[in-house]
Amino acid sequence: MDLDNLDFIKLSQTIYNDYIDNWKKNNKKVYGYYCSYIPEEVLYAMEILPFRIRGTGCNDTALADSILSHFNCSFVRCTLNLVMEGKYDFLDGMVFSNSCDHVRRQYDIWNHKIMKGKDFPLIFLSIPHKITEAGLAWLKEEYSLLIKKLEDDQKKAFDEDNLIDIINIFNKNKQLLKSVLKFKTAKEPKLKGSEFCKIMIANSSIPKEDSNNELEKVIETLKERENLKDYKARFMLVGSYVDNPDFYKIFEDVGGLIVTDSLCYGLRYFWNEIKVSKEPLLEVINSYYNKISCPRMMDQHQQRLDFIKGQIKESNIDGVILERMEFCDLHGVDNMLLQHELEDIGIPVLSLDREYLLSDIARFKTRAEAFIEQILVS
Amino acid sequence: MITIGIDVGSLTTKAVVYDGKILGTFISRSGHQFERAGIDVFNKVLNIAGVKKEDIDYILSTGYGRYSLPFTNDKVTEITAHARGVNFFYPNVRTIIDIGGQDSKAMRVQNGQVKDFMMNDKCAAGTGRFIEVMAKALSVNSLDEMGKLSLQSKNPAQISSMCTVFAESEVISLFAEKKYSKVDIIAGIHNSIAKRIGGLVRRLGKIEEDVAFVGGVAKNIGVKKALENELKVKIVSPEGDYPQLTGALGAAIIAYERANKK
Repeated sequence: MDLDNLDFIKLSQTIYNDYIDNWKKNNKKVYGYYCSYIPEEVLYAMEILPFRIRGTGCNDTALADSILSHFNCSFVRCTLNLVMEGKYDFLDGMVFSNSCDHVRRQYDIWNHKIMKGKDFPLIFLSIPHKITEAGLAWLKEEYSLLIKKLEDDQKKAFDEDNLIDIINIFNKNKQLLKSVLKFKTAKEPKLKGSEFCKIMIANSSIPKEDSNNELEKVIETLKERENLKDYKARFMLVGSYVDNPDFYKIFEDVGGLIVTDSLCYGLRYFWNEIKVSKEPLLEVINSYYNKISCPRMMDQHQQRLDFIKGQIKESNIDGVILERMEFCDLHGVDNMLLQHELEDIGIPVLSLDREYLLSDIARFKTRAEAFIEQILVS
Repeated sequence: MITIGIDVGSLTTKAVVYDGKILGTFISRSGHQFERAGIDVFNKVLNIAGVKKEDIDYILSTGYGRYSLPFTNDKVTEITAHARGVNFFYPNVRTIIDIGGQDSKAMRVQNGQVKDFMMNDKCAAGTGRFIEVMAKALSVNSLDEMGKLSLQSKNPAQISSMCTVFAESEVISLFAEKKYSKVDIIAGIHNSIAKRIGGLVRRLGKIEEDVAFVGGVAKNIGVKKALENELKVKIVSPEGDYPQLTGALGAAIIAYERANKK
């Protein structure tokens, strides 16, 4: 059986699924969240399934555009549209954060418009933008407030000992994702970037124990697979949020393989395991605070650059694709810096601006193809 | 060895017959059927060059519609093709600006090979289509005429909108205000394009000379002058229709090299 036939992979095509259905039938709650800085382990320890909001199935933003302007991020507009269509009606609560302004303001929209007058928990986790002692103290307090709100909603106390078990489940998930990644980054890869994207989406859509079982099946399937052939260049993808396998296919269709990335829906999600100690909550806080950062974090550009350079070397990268969602100011600035820094050390770079909804694919393909031609000549 | 390069662009389709030198060229509107436009241009350029179909050793397509032609040996992107075409005329060029019908590109090149490139993103501003819309709004018949008229301006208007739709409204407002003459508005339009393209070129880093300007819009002398003022460099463009033909020429040259390697 090949990958696309696995039911697990098919989970990437929909938002709601049978796993969520079963979870809710057991009177357990599902909370939505946008940003990879939201500590899933803490929610899970409170028997809440964290579900990462994504834009799967969005075709237009007509409903969202009645609230947001065209100068808002198209990913956020798409997800709000899906919310207004009722695709996220299964959620029992939301945890927002100050990731970027477009996501941060979703809290206001849910508060004053979408959930106005409804008994629907909306929690805001304020994460510092700088890594300092004071910032860590602030974040500890924010986690306390988050836990207090979850306790109020669940009507039960947070059990820190239970958090250790949850950390182990999530760490295993990260280890399995790293094992899957190796099939993509190997010198003779077996896994395409678009397929890995589907795995990441499916992984974010169901309880982690189930996902761990499914990932083991994925690994067994990949072991039996033949190596990929007929590709011309190995790329690393860096930039704004990507949850659309078709975006990867733009490059695959013209002979490029995206073998690694620095994305919040990619490697950065599972790169750092959480240390297991007698202070599990503090370990969770430290792990999320110090993880491979997104450009929302100030003074961490060098850390991001070093991570990218490490991936370029380890995964034999021929070129880096820097992509930015239109109106994403965070990646707009970071990508520009990265472009010059990578070109200075002789790494070919392709910079792309895009909307969440893919259109005008031909123009993207021309760039991808020209980038491959450029790499092959040099 | 005789080869043909066919550049199927969004507005025009171009073809060049080549055997180490240029044997014939032809340009036609692309319309909405790229395949038909490609076949038409192919047949006409053969006639012009006095070459029979069976004498052609290699056909290479390029441009937006490069995948639409079923009779070619292979395809190459217009970015690679323009770099080779410009190299034919100007071997020392290090920076190429290509403004076509629906997009604009800046390329850094060396010996006809692309080292880096930037393309404008999902926007008609700074493209041939932008000038066409403006020409229509100002009742000017051709890009050439836009260029010649702009050179008469002594007080270019400021066009601040970069969006084609908003810029058209802005141009009509300027006209209604009677503050600027037609030639000043046209010069302002060219300056706004030059600013846009200047940003694209600077994203490649320090501007390296020689700088060449190609694509259909390069036939507009006003845009070329505005670009020279914006970038503070002298810009070269091939004579006649050749700014529009460098993509097809580059494809024909690459085809010639491949045919000789066979």
